[in-house]
Amino acid sequence: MGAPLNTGFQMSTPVFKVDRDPDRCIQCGVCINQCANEVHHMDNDGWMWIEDEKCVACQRCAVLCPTRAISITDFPVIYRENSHWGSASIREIYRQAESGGVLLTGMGNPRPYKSYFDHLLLNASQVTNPSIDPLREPMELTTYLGNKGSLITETEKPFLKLKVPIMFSAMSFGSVSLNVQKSLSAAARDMGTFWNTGEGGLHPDLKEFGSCAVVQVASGRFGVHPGYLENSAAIEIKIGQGAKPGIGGHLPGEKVSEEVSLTRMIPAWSDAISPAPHHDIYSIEDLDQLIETLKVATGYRKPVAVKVAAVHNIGAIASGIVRAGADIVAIDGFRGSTGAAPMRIRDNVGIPIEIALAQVDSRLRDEGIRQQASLVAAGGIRSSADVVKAIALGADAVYIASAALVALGCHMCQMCFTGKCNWGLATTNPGLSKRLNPELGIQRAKNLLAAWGHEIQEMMGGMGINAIDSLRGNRLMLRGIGLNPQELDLLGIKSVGD
Amino acid sequence: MAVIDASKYSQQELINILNNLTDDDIEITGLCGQRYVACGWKNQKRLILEGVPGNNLAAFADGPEIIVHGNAQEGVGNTMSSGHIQVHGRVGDIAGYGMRGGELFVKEHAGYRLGIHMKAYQDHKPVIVVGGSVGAFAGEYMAGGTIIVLGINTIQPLIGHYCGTGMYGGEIYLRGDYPVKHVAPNIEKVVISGKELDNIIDYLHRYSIYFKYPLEKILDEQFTRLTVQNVRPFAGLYAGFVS
Repeated sequence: MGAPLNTGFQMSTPVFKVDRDPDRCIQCGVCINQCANEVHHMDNDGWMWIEDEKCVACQRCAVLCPTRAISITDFPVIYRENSHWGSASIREIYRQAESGGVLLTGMGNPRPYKSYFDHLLLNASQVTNPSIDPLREPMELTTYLGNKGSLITETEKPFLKLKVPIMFSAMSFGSVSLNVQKSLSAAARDMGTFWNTGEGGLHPDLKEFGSCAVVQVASGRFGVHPGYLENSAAIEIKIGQGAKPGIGGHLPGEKVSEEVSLTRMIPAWSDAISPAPHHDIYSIEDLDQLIETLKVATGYRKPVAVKVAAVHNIGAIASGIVRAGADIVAIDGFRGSTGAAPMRIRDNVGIPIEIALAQVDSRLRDEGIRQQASLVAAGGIRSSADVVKAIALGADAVYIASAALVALGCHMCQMCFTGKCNWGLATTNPGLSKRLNPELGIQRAKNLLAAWGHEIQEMMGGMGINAIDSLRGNRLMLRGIGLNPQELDLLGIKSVGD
Repeated sequence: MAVIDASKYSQQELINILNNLTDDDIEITGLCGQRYVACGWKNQKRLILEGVPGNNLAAFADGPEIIVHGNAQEGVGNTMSSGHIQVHGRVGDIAGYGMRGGELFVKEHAGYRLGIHMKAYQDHKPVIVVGGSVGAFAGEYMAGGTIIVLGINTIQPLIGHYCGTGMYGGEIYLRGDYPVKHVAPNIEKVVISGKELDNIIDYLHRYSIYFKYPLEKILDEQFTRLTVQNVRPFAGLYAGFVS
């Protein structure tokens, strides 16, 4: 295979069209300053022009324009109508013919696969049992994560106590800015939940947030040392990620700034490559050994989580993970997000979290080992309703990442891998990073958790349930709409009306 | 010095005893495969081990000095940050995986996947010296540090297949003018001797002292040095796409 050679020849029109209304524009230059992609320009005479082909539709300029002069639309499609060859398929081939590259993208799988969350409906109490008003009566959301089999054994096992069953999912410093981590870590601490460092170590500025951090140990072992393991609430072995099951990570040297190099503990501007597997884990027995190693290294004071992507046979995989001694199993569905992943992997690998969760919960119950580990669901949780449905399907808690980023200003342009995030989130560029004020970020993330917490209480109250424990795995609270018998069976739920 | 007869204890008992010891010098005799010794130790303790320590000896360790009189099993120095390990015998697979600092001296051979993803950072420069030969996949994804393989008393090739696959930093030294047919692409081979060995002469000298093998005999051959041609081997792999 020869090295790809960039032909530098563009075949297609731009994807987006940026319009500036000259009647409204006051030539203040905000759009020019705000766009890291350099879409907007002005020459010395005040003449302004636009490079549509650089636009990623992040909406930064349109939102900040003081006179609402800017609007971004899809560039009118010129291809002949074709239900098989959509314009994206054609543009993808142009891009590859031009570059010879593996298509790279960000965020979660955007393709129109069936969303099972949208085919689940919740129950509510009517007449035969009373609903509960959470504004008037106590409503318990406290969730404990860990091995609960130990309640009847001699030694108490470590656990995590969550005041709300939502944690912030793994986003490493490097994939996101330090201000994102500052916002989420402080919000997690204030709200009585946890954040996750991702595979990238813990920045010295965030040391005080170690006590509410799940620290990750992934295949590259970046930033992993005894102090990092010790300064944590729990340790998570990352085997896989929903956006890219089966492949490793690759933080390009451009993003490994001096600051990032501090936490990853590699030289600045060098690539940070995480191999696809952990090379000390080739089997369940090996996983058992790494879990035990981490427990020994931290004196059995930390619960150990294992995070895997939802894939075929996830039931058997999760069973093996629990038997290997994991206290928490985190399962990341195929809608899970990423800072960078090959598009073909993101869009075509893995299975939905809803099905995976139901399968794992059932499998662990059937085998009598469900109490030995908690289940955390991740991958595409968009709202408190998704959280309630996930818990009713069998999760103990959920991880959110995309939703947390949206709370901080993400506009889902899916260009995280460029490091030019105009909202200051998926970047390590100091100028861009400071666009997220951590004080505001903390408040917004806290608001999101508080709002979801209230909504979860409302939904639980409606069902006549006053403790989240009674909702967990309570699939009688769910009914499927528009699902075939096999899907209902796999989810372990009845159809609407049944 | 505390002396512990490990033959009396299970793995869990031994770990508990070690965790409760305050002594800086510890000798453990009769080891027979007990795992996780010195695992996660962040101290400067000195350990002398007689027998065979089990898997993940000194994994995640930061500082201890360990001398093993015998062979060691899998995962010696796994993700080690600093410290010193001497094994007067051979080690199993994945020794030095993800090692960021410290030293591992092995008198005889090492198994598969030696020093995968070793990396260097600031003052941390990990080094592994193996007296005999090593198995396949040595130095895979290596990002920094030094691996030295001497090929003493072995009829095997010094390295197995796929040495340095995906490597993007660090150096591997093989004693002799080694044919690189087993070596991955993106590796640059240079044969060096004399003054050019200054970088590693201290390690060779210490190998000869630790394991009582004459330095002159080590130096009577040239060395093959393997480094990477391109430190960003995957830089051109991807094409960003506006999806």
